[in-house]
Amino acid sequence: MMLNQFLLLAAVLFCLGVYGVLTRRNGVLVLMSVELILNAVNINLVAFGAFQDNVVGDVFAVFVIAVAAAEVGVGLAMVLLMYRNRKSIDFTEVDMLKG
Amino acid sequence: MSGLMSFLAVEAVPDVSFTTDANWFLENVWIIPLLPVLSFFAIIFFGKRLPQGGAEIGIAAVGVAFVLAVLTNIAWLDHRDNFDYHDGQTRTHSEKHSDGDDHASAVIDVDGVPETVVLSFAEEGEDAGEESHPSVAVVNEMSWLTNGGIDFKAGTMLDGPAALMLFVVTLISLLVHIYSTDYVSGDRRYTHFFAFLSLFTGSMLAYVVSHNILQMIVTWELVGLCSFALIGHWWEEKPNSDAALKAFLTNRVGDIGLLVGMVILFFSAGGTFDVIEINEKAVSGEISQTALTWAAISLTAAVMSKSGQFVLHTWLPDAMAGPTPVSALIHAATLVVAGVFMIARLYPVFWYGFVIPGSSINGLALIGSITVVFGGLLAFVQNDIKKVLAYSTVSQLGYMVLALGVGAWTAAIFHLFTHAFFKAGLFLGSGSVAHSVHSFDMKNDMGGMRKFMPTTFKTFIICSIALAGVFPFAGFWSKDEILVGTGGFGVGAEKANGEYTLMLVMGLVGAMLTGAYMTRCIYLTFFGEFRGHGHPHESGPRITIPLIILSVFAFGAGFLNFPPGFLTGDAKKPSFWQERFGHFVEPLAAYFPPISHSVPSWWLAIIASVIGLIGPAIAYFYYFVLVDRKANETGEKLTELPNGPTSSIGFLKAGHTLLVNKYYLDHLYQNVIVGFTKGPLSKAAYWFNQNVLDGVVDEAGRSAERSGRFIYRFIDQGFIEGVVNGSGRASSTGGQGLRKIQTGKVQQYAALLFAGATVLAGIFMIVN
Amino acid sequence: MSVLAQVANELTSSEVDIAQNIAFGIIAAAMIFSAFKTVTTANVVHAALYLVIVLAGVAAIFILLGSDFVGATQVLVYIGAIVVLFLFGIMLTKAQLGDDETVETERRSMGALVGVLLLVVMGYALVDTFENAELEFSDPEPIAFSEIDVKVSDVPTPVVDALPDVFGDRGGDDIVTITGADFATLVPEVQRRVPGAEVFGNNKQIADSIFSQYIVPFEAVSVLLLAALIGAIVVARKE
Repeated sequence: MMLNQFLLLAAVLFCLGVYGVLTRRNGVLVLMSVELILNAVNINLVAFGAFQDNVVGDVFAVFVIAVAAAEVGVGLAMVLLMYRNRKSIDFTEVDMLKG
Repeated sequence: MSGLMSFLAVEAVPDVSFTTDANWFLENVWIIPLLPVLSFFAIIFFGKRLPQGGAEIGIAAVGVAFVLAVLTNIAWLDHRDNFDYHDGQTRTHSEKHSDGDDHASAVIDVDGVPETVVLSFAEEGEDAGEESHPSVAVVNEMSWLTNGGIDFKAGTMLDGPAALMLFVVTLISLLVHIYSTDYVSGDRRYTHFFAFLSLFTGSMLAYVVSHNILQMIVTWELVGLCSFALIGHWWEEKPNSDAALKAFLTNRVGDIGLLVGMVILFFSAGGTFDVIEINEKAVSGEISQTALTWAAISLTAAVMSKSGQFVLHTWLPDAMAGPTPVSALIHAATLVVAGVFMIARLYPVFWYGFVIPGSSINGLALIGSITVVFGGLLAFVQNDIKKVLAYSTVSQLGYMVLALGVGAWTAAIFHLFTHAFFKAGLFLGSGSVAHSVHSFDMKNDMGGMRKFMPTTFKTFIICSIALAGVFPFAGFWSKDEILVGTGGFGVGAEKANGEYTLMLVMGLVGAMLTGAYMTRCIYLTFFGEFRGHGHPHESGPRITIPLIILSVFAFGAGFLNFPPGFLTGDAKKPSFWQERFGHFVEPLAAYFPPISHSVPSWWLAIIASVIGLIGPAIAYFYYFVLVDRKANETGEKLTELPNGPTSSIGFLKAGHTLLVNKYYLDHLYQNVIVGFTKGPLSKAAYWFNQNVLDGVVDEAGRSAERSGRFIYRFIDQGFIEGVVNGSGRASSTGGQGLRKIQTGKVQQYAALLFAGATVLAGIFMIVN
Repeated sequence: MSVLAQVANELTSSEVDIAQNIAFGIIAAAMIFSAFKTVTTANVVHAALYLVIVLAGVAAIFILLGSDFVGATQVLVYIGAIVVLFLFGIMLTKAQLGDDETVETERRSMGALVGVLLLVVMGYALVDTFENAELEFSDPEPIAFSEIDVKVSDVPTPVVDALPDVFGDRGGDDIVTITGADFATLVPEVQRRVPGAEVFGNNKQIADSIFSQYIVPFEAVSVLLLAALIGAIVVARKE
């Protein structure tokens, strides 16, 4: 197998994730897209680990999974808070940073 | 001859540093700090349910710690003299560079200063063999984490200064605990107070036996945290919590220096936290001069904040907001001493970093000498008895830093030791008075207290005399040793480390000031007519007994370190009782620089005593004669002459105003520095925030029009106003126009972010 | 002896490579399709279910790359926990069941542009840099043992040939004992094929690495998880 097939797969997943983050209104769906991005990164880590024949990539992939779990927990909590305050989780409505 | 001397000078520092095998008390010294820390948790959890509210736990823990500290000191005495360092148990961390290493030769090269401690003893005759016995530290360590090839260790390191500090801290803390049971009885947070008193003691004890700089940092911060909690003990009143915050934040400023310095040391010593190893490498020249200098400068910043050196001392007088026993503990044995102790602990870093031997001025000595005089002057204008003592502490800490700066290491530690007793005595004495009159204001609520409180009065007088450095009280010996150690005007230079004339002058001025402000303080507190309300009475035994114990030490502690020749009348004839203290504390090992001792000078001692008495004499004349007479004539309760020199003579008046405003330092910090960062900077940040994404497209169209208008204004309204108004208006119009770009839509920002990153990556790829 | 290993034993290395590539192709196609549906479908619950397929595909990719520990973790944490969290999130925010055309913004073209731009840049960089990089899997170290009983029919021919003293003329269902001493006489390639001596995956190295070299990041992640736990409670609880 070639290294590139994994890296390109990861790149495709990453770009789909970015597309999702940019176009989804629903907060939960945005978080799902973020997961796609994180998984793309994990594929890269493990593929490079296999390429260099060591376990560093695996170790960091495990760390990324743990961090992703934390991220989803906090992210969903924020989405829930937003829902409770505004009865909506539409990101396009959140524009308090407007100048 | 000179060749032989050089040889001896190199040999003078023994090639051993520490042992891991010694007396039980020396090896297990970790128990001493552990006891108060355990007591902290016990008091927090169970204190409220106990009949004495937790005080008994604290006193018991510190009492046991004190007994252990005494036993440790006895064991250290034995170890110091009798430990066989040839048995292979002793070690150094690094192989010492043999000949020709920079530092050792630098010391030898200083003309006329080849003799070191050992050599001087060797000259003195028969007992040279015994005296040159190295003082080997006792180390007990274990590794708790290994990462990236670096061992993170926890452990204790016991040597002379550590053993001494164990004794001082536990003794003062025990007395303060006992004193507090009366002083803060019935307080709203009595249990909380004792809990933190315990933790404070424990942190300081852990600090002094720290084996590595990591532990030093942690315990240093713990000490700071406890002082925050105790200074703000009565936090319901705003000034108290403000004072606690000020102490904490000012210390944080210095802590940046501490961290930077420690990081420099860690990396320059090849990735080790070990104090002994760092010191050894500094001595042997493995750490470069540049690294040492920067580390020393950074650490000096930490010392300036922690030990209240001039410019960063402002928090110390405010810290008087805490209960008086806490002030005594902070000023005598714990918080402020931590900085001085850090210099003493990492002395090679400062010794070589500031090139102390053979020079006549350096940063450390300069800061110390300025602090001596400026702190002492500030004490004159205080009406709060505790603030007089606080500024006195600032001044005395200046002496210690000065002594370390001029290379008089032993003198500094000796002064730390004697100062601990008389300053604790003075603080507890002032607390005793204040306890009785319910105020700290000398001018309005005290006066004539000697009639009401004879015991407090006597102990206060003894401690004051000791502070003023009058023969034969403790302060005389330590202060004289510091003054001799400066080597100013060539005094004692036969064996001194350099010729620090400026420091000697400042030290003498400081001695004069010390006596004078203490005379003023004593007059206002204990003499004249009582100006307060109610009926003051002597405090109970739990307050007076600690005072008596401390005044005994304040009188006698100085006898531990007679200068050579004082007892025999001839410096060439050593006596067993001379320099016992130096013998006890001074490390004589591969991790300590080859410092020299000055030869004591009779005439300097006499001159210093005379100068030290001029100050009190003037103050005595002013208060006890002039003010007293005036008071008797007019029948008023006077605290100063109605038309005294500070209100009638111009420059004195200006000086007085300057002092009352504390050199405007607080003003500088609060209004100028904080004001600058708070106001304009936050405004600038706000403006930047508002307009940072200014689109170039929109801007370009307007700028042509605007620049035309600018030129008109430049010509019309003159240069400066034009710039100010123009730029202000430019930003405001630009901002108004461009704020529309800020949609507030998160995903749009994200799109821009990704697009920008992609474009940059693309450019990077093409360029590559 | 696992079925997979048995299959692997009977294939030559080029056959293995072809099989792996076919597996990769199927998995990758399924993943890209599902990921695409995840970010475009109008049904929120369907999006979560498509996400499951992507995550399972990622786990399969990990196993294909020889990292079965990470693959297992992926299944446990992502499919087992995170997707369930998402479903809870969908439920608690009372998302509309069935298609909901409002889930996407009107700026789809902008997102597509950024995504494609990103893909072009990354794809070009990858092709440019790793054009000929080939993955070569080194065989793991065989595990030594003191003694093992095996059925002769389970033992691959190279092992039988290499140990004539042990196997002799036994055959079929006989049970023979291979000792550690016998094992030590074999060359590594043959050793690996002794039943019970194969090692799959690199769990041991990962464990070693996490608990020695990366102990501090590990502890930091632990603290982070605790902080996230507390943070999530604080943020989401009712006042």
